[in-house]
Amino acid sequence: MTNEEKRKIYAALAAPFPEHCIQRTEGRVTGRGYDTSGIGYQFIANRLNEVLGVGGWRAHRTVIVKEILRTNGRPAFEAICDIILELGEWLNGDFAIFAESLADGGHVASSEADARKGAYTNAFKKAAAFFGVGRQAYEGSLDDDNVPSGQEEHRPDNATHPTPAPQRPVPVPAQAASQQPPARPAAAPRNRLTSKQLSALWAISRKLGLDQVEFRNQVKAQHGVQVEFLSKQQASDLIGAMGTNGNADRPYVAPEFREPGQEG
Amino acid sequence: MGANDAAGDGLHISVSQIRTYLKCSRLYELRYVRGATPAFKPTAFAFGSAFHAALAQFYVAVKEDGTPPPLGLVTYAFRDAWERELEGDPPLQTDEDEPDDKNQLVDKGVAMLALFHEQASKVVAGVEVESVEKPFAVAIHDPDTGEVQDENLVGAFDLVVNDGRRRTIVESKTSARKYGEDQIRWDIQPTGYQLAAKQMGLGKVGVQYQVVTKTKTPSLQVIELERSTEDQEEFLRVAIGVMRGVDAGVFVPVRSWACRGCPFAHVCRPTRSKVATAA
Repeated sequence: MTNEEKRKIYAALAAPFPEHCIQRTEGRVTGRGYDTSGIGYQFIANRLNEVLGVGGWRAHRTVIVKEILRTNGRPAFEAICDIILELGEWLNGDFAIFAESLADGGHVASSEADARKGAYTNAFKKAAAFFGVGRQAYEGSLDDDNVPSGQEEHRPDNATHPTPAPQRPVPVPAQAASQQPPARPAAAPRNRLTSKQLSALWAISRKLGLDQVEFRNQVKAQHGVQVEFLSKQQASDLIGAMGTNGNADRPYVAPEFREPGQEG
Repeated sequence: MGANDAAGDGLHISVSQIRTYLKCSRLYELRYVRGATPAFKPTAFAFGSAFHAALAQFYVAVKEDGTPPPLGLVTYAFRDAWERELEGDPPLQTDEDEPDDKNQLVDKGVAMLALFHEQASKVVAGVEVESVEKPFAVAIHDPDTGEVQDENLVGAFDLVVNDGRRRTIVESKTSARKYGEDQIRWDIQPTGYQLAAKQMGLGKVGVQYQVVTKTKTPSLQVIELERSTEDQEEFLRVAIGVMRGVDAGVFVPVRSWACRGCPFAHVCRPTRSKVATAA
């Protein structure tokens, strides 16, 4: 693998996560006394799969668990996980590694299973951060725009202010930037319906007993486009309307198809 | 199960959609966004579909029985699929540069199949047929930001074979003539398929085109296609560019010779009210 290929993989791995991937905890709720921000475990795994492909990475772990007493005297399990995260490719049954990171993590929980899981995800996130995945959590840059001045130095580890904030783009080293093609303008917010909305529409239409062609034709007649190209708002309105019809236990009928007297 | 089934209920984009948008975004709008009814189906498409059905029959038999089926079975599958195309809706329409005689086309198809059968029977002897018409739906991301797109890339591999050393995706094509150098170098389909294979955990796969020509004497062109990481990134950028264009409602008609044979030409130029001209 060339340095250029490595650089591109790093850029893709280290790209900022969208807002919905960020998990925040409040100290007053967790009892830890400080707020935290981090990237959800599954989003980290998704990023590795998307950039490297399924089978493009693997993890080896060693977990040690011991029973402890919490400060309040209650028993608990403390797990410590050592992890080796490898990036590579399966070739003829062997995993050819091109990068690896070592990290550890810990977690205390009332059940041993939860302690093990927590320690593993904790270690996994840190190991992935060595490759840049979710590095903002450890840089403390997730919520910089919203941290009141003077508070930054009080943050422990990856703890930050809980208020959501837009993410900063990942800085590109000057040398790498000079080799990049011209940057594309930022994408405008998407107006097209989401995959979830589309799935919901199909699911509701099936529940209402509409066949796919019938539903497709109704949407086309009503909105002038195929169901896959409705706007977010149109999809939202339609889901609402169909939900109402569904509750009334009768088939959905687009307004244009209603006979006089069918309104309401 | 085809590409559409693989798409499931979610948003998707396919190599065919990307190609259509790049060829004429107005065509994309009419076909995919508006869902306009085509006036006809080009005979070449129908011919390709019928030929494809025959090849699938061949490979399914190899996969299940371990040996190639008799030529008669394959040509029967072709004739059967062709009959269904003839009876289908919309009606077929022949391009200007193709023979209008449907029987002549059937004869041509049978001759092409005979050539294919002879060559393919030798090729499949040393390989394992892993899957035929294998659908896929994989996530795609922006190579510049890492952002995962809402649309999945969907499609179907004609054939996946394994010779013990590596997997190869084999795509069968019919064409008026042999593929040229630029067509081979820049076709986005193999790039998309390699990306999909990687996402599916198949590792780095080869892509092979088997092009059977409709020339007077049919020929079989076997092309091994190579695509780099840069090609794959470009494919992703192109796909995302198309999705952005669609989101923004950028649908521009590309007027050319192709308009004459376009199944959507009848709805492409809407009647506009005449603008009054000042005297």
